[in-house]
Amino acid sequence: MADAEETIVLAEMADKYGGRRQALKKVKEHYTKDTLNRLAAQNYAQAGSAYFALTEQGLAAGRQAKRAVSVLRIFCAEILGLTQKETAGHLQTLLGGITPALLERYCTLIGHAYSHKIPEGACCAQAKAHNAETVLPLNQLPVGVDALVIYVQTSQRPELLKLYDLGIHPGKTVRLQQLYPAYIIATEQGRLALDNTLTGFIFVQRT
Amino acid sequence: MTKTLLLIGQNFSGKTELFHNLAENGRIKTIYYPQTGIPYEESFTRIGGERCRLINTPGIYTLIPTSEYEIITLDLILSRQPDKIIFVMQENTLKSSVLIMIQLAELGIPFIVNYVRSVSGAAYVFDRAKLAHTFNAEVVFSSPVFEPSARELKKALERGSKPRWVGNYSRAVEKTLQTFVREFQFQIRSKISLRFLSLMLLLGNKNIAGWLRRNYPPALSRKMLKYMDSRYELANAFAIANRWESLGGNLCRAVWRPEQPRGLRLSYVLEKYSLKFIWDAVIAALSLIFMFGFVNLCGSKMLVNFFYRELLGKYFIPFCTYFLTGWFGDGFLAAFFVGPYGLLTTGLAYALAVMLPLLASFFFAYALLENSGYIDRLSLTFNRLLKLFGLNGYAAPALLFGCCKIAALHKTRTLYTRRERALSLLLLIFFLPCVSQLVIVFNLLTIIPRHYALIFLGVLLGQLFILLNLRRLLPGGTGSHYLSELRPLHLPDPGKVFSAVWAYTRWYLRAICPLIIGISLLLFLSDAVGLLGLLKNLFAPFTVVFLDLPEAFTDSLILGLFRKDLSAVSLYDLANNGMLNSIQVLVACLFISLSAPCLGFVSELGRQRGWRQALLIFALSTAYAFTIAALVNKILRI
Repeated sequence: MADAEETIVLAEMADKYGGRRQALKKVKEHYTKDTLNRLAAQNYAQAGSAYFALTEQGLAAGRQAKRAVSVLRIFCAEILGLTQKETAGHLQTLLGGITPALLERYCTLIGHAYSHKIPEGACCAQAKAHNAETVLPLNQLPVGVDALVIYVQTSQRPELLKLYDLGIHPGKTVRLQQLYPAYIIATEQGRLALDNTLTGFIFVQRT
Repeated sequence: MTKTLLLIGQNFSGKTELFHNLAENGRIKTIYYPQTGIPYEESFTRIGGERCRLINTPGIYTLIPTSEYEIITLDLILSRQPDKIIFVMQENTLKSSVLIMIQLAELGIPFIVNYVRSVSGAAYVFDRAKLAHTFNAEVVFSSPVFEPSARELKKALERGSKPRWVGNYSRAVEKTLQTFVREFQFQIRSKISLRFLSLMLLLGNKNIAGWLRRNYPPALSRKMLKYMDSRYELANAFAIANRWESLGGNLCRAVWRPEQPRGLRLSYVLEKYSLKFIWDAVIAALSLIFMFGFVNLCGSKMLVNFFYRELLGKYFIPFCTYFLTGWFGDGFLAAFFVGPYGLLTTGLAYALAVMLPLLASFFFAYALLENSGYIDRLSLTFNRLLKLFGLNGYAAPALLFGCCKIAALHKTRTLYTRRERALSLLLLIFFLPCVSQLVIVFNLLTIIPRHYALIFLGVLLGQLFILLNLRRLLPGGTGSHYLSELRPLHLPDPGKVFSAVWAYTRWYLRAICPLIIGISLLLFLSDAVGLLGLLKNLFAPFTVVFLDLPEAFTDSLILGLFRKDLSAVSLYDLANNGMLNSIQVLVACLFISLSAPCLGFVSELGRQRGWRQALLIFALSTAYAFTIAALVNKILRI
């Protein structure tokens, strides 16, 4: 992969221009001649007398760069708790030593593409497939199957905070008993009746 | 300096109702918290002869802020430094409420607990003395139906003393807290305990740090924050949270003992079938037939007959009339007590001899179902149906109180959102008639040709269709969703049923009775100054020209202002005396069924939404009913 500065530039270009031809004059307004020449030298871009465009190879590298930048930005902001200004500084450092294997680990730490707006990588698809088999909203759990509560999205529905008092929180085992007249769930403490809408915000894992 | 009282509790715990109960009339100010747009209310109240500021804070689940509401509540505690706190808790949110109480005990400000529990469906045996002793805090009971007496609360507030800690933390945490308190106790003057401040700093609470920076000299606040920073470890936060969790769990077990329901085996069949397709509707229908059949047989036919017709009609009223006219002649004073709109003959007679027996029998049937745990099942059964109207199962108990619409409207106050309250109000005004009125209207419909009765039902169904579509126009999003615990069904406990009947009856006597008596006084005064006669003369041409009804119908209308069922009875008499033909009966039935509810309902509406809105709703619904009845009349006469 290219160095940190080039990675950021490639990510920006892939996002902004895609594979389309751009007027060289317009591109030069944002990037230095030296940067453009370096990209062309590595076969990431084609530069004619009046136009500029990313090559297939450049576009692929750009997409990967965009993913790396997005993942690391979220990592800095959410895991390290850095401000936007601090993130900009750290990004250069982290991008410098990034490898595809490391990027996957960072991606795992932030919870993959389906919980953030970032380009999906191979690890995201793999995790999605794995979780689809095990973690699912309560309204997709078959009747009579035991499941472990993984996450309750109380930010979406504050009334779900009541579940804590009714004995449902991450780590507790529940079983969907029947779907009529509402979703009826058996817990260690007793039974609950919930609307379908609310069950969509409770994520469980089959045990 | 004016003392400050803070009202704290979880969302939908009944804070606002309590606030309105305590606040000085008409002096409630809604304030929007800067930069958030989240409102909180402020007013004044008198405690022990002293005028205190009363603040109703946004709902919280913990004092460690995780949401905007919690940040605002903590900010209000810090900035207003209340002298006393009223904590409102509900039986169905025990764990989180106990957690808040533990945090309040650390806060060091005297607090009292307003414990809201179900009247007859209580799931726990509650040790009031133990809770009061644990926190050194007074505990006052209330129920979702009636507010606690303001006097009882105020007395508790007068007595309120410094709370007691409920337990210690690990040795390392305790040492840090004690050192902090020792170090800064002479430099910080605050009603909030230093122990609470240091605990919050150990938990990494940024709001407390900001408050210290804003309110104390930079050198002092820097010293405090530096001290706590040096001792801040993530492990401390976990240790404190775990300790609270275990303390809360132990307290819950010590204070609340789950009640052992009786007769579980007997209810097994009901338990199973009350949640099965079709069967749930069958059981719900049977229970409603039982409930309203009981009200009709026991309340309406036996008790009202005995109290109103026999006791009052044959003995008490003639006796009073004889004595009062003997003493005062046929003048104003005699009319005030025993005249056509007199206090004894209408106000007290309807409130105590008609409504009270009717409602007491309803309360008995309702308490029986509530105590057996069936009311929750009924709510669940009606959940899907009510969703069509933009409501949910929570609205079912309120609509069941439709036996008397004033009571039903009063109960809708417990619904979660403004939109739900508005929708249930629309249903009560335009679709659900008073049960006693409904019986008479159906009797009237049986004496007219069947196709006219079908027109009546068609208009009501059309109205229902309009309501179904109208809900989309109301602002306020999708409303709340149904989430409830399903307790096992069991045999009712007679003691609890009777105490619930007494609780509901006391609520009726305190909340509804004064409205009925007030309306009777209003009618008497209107009659005395000639306003009633003027109204009759004013409306008579309209009823004659547009509705083609005789002038005598205006008397039924005036009675309808007082009680809708009386209006229906008067109409029944007119029809039986041959003064109305079939079309006239249909038009009159339509008008009294669709028109604005009685003045008692309007008074309750005024209490909830303000007089301007109540009168507007009254005028609009009357005009609407008049238009529909006039249209049906003119179409049938083409």
